[in-house]
Parts: sequence; structure tokens; C-alpha cells
Amino acid sequence: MIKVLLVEDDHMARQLLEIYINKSEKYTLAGSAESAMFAEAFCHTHQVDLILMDVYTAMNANGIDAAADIKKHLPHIKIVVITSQPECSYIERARAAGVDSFWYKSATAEEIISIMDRTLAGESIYPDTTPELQLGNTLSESFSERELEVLRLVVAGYTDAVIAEKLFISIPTVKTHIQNMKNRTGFRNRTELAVRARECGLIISDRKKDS
Amino acid sequence: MLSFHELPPFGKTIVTALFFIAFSLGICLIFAEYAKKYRLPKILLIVANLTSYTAMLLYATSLRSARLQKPVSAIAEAFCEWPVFILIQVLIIIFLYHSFVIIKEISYKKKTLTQSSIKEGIDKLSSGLCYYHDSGRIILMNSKMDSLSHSIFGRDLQNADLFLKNLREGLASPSVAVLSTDSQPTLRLPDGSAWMFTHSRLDNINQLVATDITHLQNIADELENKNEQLKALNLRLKKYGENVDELTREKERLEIKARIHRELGQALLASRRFLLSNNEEDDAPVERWQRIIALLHKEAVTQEDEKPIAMLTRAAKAMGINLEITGKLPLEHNVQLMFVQAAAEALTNAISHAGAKTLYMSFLHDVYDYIAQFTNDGAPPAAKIVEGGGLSSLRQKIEREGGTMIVDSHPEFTLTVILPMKGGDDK
Repeated sequence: MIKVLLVEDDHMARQLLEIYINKSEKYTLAGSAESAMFAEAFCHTHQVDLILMDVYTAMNANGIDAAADIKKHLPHIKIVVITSQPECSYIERARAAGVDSFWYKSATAEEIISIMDRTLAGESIYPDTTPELQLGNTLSESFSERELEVLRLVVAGYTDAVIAEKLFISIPTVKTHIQNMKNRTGFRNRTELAVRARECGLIISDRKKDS
Repeated sequence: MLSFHELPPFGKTIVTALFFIAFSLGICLIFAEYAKKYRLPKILLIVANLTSYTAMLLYATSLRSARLQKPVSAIAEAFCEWPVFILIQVLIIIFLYHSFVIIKEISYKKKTLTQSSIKEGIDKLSSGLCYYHDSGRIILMNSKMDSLSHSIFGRDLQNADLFLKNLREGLASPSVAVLSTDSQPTLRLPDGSAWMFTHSRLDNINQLVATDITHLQNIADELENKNEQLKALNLRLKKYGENVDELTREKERLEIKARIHRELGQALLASRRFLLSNNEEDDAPVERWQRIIALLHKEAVTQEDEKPIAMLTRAAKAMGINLEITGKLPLEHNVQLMFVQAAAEALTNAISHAGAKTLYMSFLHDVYDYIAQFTNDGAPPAAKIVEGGGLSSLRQKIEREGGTMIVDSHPEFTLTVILPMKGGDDK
């Protein structure tokens, strides 16, 4: 039996995933943790073959960052990161952290078990694109990389001057990006833009990354 | 040729009076030309005046002789024998020269700035202007600067150096708002106008300029207000970002509940199909029901404590690690979270490097800081610990909160975290 560590902060989602794992013939639950910050320690005390881990876990611990640490010290453990958030940067960050597979929680039990099977077989499963999101009058894919970077910092609550400093661009350029996004979405102000972007999951503030 | 003696008395008086007029006019012009640079006009005026004066004097003497009916001066009598025609010509030349000097003087006045015109000009400036020596003695100052001195200090501007010094020290009347006291003092007067004073050095004199920046200051004030509003807005956005995490979780839970609901519907359908077909080998409905019952059962019986320390305790228990806690974990949520994150890192190190079975945690505080210390009962580090991903990431988080992290390798592994007290705890 393949031993799985489940890292998920929401107890209902965790229980559902535990049932998926326990009901499968191939996998058995090695343990569950609410926060990604306990994952590595757990792997040192238990035999774990695969980790099924959420991105955003309890106590602000990010599953992708924890995966990077685990891959550094315990590279043999396969890691599948799952999320319900369509945050555009997660896929790229997961690849950079060495996460074996990345998928969305909206998948069925069979799909999740299939991804775990294929990951153990050596495949790396990633979605081709992030889910398309409606943001005001436009779709999330209409935003450029730079606009998303600016939007991420707007959502984090930074002023134009700080955003300009962080992205090494001028303040008028920041204003232009924000204005362009407002024009396309039809939102009246930056607050509405930031709130809607956060609500629909296009941008998830990560204090570590955004600070 | 007609001489002075041969003129009628009225003619004599007229000629004498004309020379007197030429003399008087010459005197005025000499005064006007006195300060000028060129000498020739001055010499010519002196010559013309001497000529006029001499002629006037000699004719006046001759007229006196005629009134007394006896000669007073032989020179005067001889002079009066000269043809009047020549003297009239001299008179015309003198008047022509005087006219030329007058025209030139008018033209000069029109083209040249005088001290008074400079004063008049700078008085019309909307800015305040003052030139002064190093001692503070004023060379030139306009009325605006003087009026500013009255508005700011309630007195005349007599020593510009002292005036500037007082401005830089912000020693203005109570009704004046000092906006800045740096190298360019800026003040807002009771009438609402804002003035900026700029000092500069020109060769060996000082220039002080007061510029009306009311409009600029109003825009700056407006900008500052907007920035304050923006800061408040961004702060609200940050708070919202924190609250929205919970909203996201709620959404996620709702989705799971919807999924369970769907599965329940499918189980009912499968059960109905099973009952209708009466196929005893089909165990799909049973599996579906088992899965739903397991989930609903867990949901009903599980009531987990979501406090960070409770999560840490559960995780440690799952790993077979004993936690020994001394002191009381601070109540401040952020501090608690940071200490538990440090504990998690200490737990990872205790297990992976020391093979420990117990993690010791002590929490204490002084007047300014919360202090947490973590050790374990495992093997002490063989060499000095080099901070890797976990510890260095923790250090970043702690230092971002204004705290300090200390990692000791000897005599045993000790992780100390110090976080500043921000209030809100009952200690």
C-alpha cells in the first residue's frame, strides 16, 4: 500500500479526501495535517510515499513553499499540490518548487486518484491553463503578466509609489496599468478591481511573496 | 554794428534777462549732469554758464551805470561796446546747447533705471524680495517683504539675517502656521496664503526671496489628504484580504457540501435502480452509501480546535513527539502564530536532525518583548547549525514583524524568538 500524507486545513475537505484515499485499494492514509508547516516533520517520523497538499493551509503556511523544503530534504517523496483557487501564479510557483503534480480540487475522486497514480508512475501532471475567470466585463486571460503583477500588489494593499518601486517601473506606468485594467473590467475604482480579483481567486495575497 | 549801449532800455533788459535765464538753466543742468560719467558735457556747461554769467554781470553793471549816470566799471563799458549781434549769437548757441542737454537728459531718464525706479519696480512684485549684507543690514527690500515681516513677526524688517534665522527656527506669531523650518522655511499666514523663503548668495551680498506658494501648497495639501485616504483604503484592502481567506474557505466548504448533496442524490438513484433491477451482485449503491455515511459521521463527531497551539499539539502527537510547555503562550494572535511557526520549525529540526522525543517550549515576557525558547532532548548538533530554507524563512518572517531570532548550536540546539509587544495582551 502506498502511504499518503494529507495536508489540508479545512476539516470537511480533509475528511472528503481521507475517504477518497481510504476507499481506494492502492492507497492508505499515513496521516493528516492541517498546516503545511508540519508536513516535513511528519515525513521524518512516518513512512510517506506521496503527499497530497493544499496550497493555502492553516497558520498561513503555503503548501508550495513547504513542498520546496520537503523536495530539498526528502526528494523521493512525490508531492501533488491541489487547490480550489485559480490564482494565476500558483502553477508557475509549483513548478519552480519541484512539485510533481498540480491540480484543482474541483476534480472528482476518480480524477484525483488517477493523478496520484500517474504521479507515482513518474508523470508530472499540470493543467495546461488556469481556469478562465470572468472579471467584470473581461476574462482573466486578457490580463498581461505585468498587469497581473501590478494587480497582485494592489490587492496586497500597496500604494502606487510602492508598487512602482517593487516592480522597478515608474508611477505613471503603474497608474496606466491600473487604468487599463479598470477600463477593460468596467470597475469604477482600484478598490473594486482589487476586491473582485481577490474574490474570484485570480489573485490570492501571499504575505511572504508580496512583502 | 549795433552795440548794447545803442539798444533801447527795454532791449537791454531783455538781453540781460535772457543771459540770466541761460545762467539759471545752466546751473540746473550742471546739477543734473554732475553724477554722470562723461566730462565733456560738464565742461561745456560750465563754459556756457561762465559766459552767461559774465555777460549778465557786465550788462547788469552797465544798466546800473546808466541808472546812476556815471560809469561803474570800465570793463563793463568796454564790453557793452561789442556788437549785440555777436552776443545774441552766443546766447543762441548757449540755448541750443542747453536744449540739447535737456533732450539728452530726458532720453537718458527714459532709457535708464534709476534707484527709485528699481524700488518702484520691485515694490510691484508679487513676491517678497530683500538684499542685505552679511550683518543683516538691508540694501534693498520691497514692500511685500516688509508686509510679510509684519504678518509673521508683527514688526518691521530691520535685520534680514535675524529675520531669516527666526524663520528657520519657526519663531513666528502664534497665528502663523509653520509648515517647514528647513533651508527653505515655509509658513501659512492667517489669511490662508502660504509663503516659502529662499536664501541665496550673490557675490558678497545675500538675497532673500519670499514666494507665494499658496496654490502649490493647496495642491500638496489635497494630495496629502488623498494619500491619507489611499493609505486608509489600502489598509482596509489588507484587512479585507485577511478576512477574505475565511470567505474562500466558506466557499470551498459550500462546494464540498454541494458535492455531498450530489453524491447523496446519485446514491438514492443507484439504490432505486438496484431495488428495481433486483441485481444482488451490484454493490455500487452500498459503496456510495458507505462513503456518504463515513463523511457525515466524521462531520458530526469531529469538532477540532483550530487554535495554532492545538494544531501543533495534534501534529506533535501524530509524530510521536511529546511537548513540554513552560509559561503561557501570549494571547496576541500574531505572536501566537509566529511562536507556533517557530515551534513547528523546532519540531522539524528536533525530529530530522536530533532524533528527539520531546520538544521543550518556554514562553515568557518582559515589559517590551515576548520571548519563546525551544530545545529538545535529542542529540546536540555535531557542528554549528547553518540556517537553511526553514530556519532562514522563519527568520525573515520574524524580522519582518520587528522581532529577533537566535539559533544556538552549543551546548544544545536552542531556538530563541523575541517579538516586540504591541499591546492587546493581558500578560
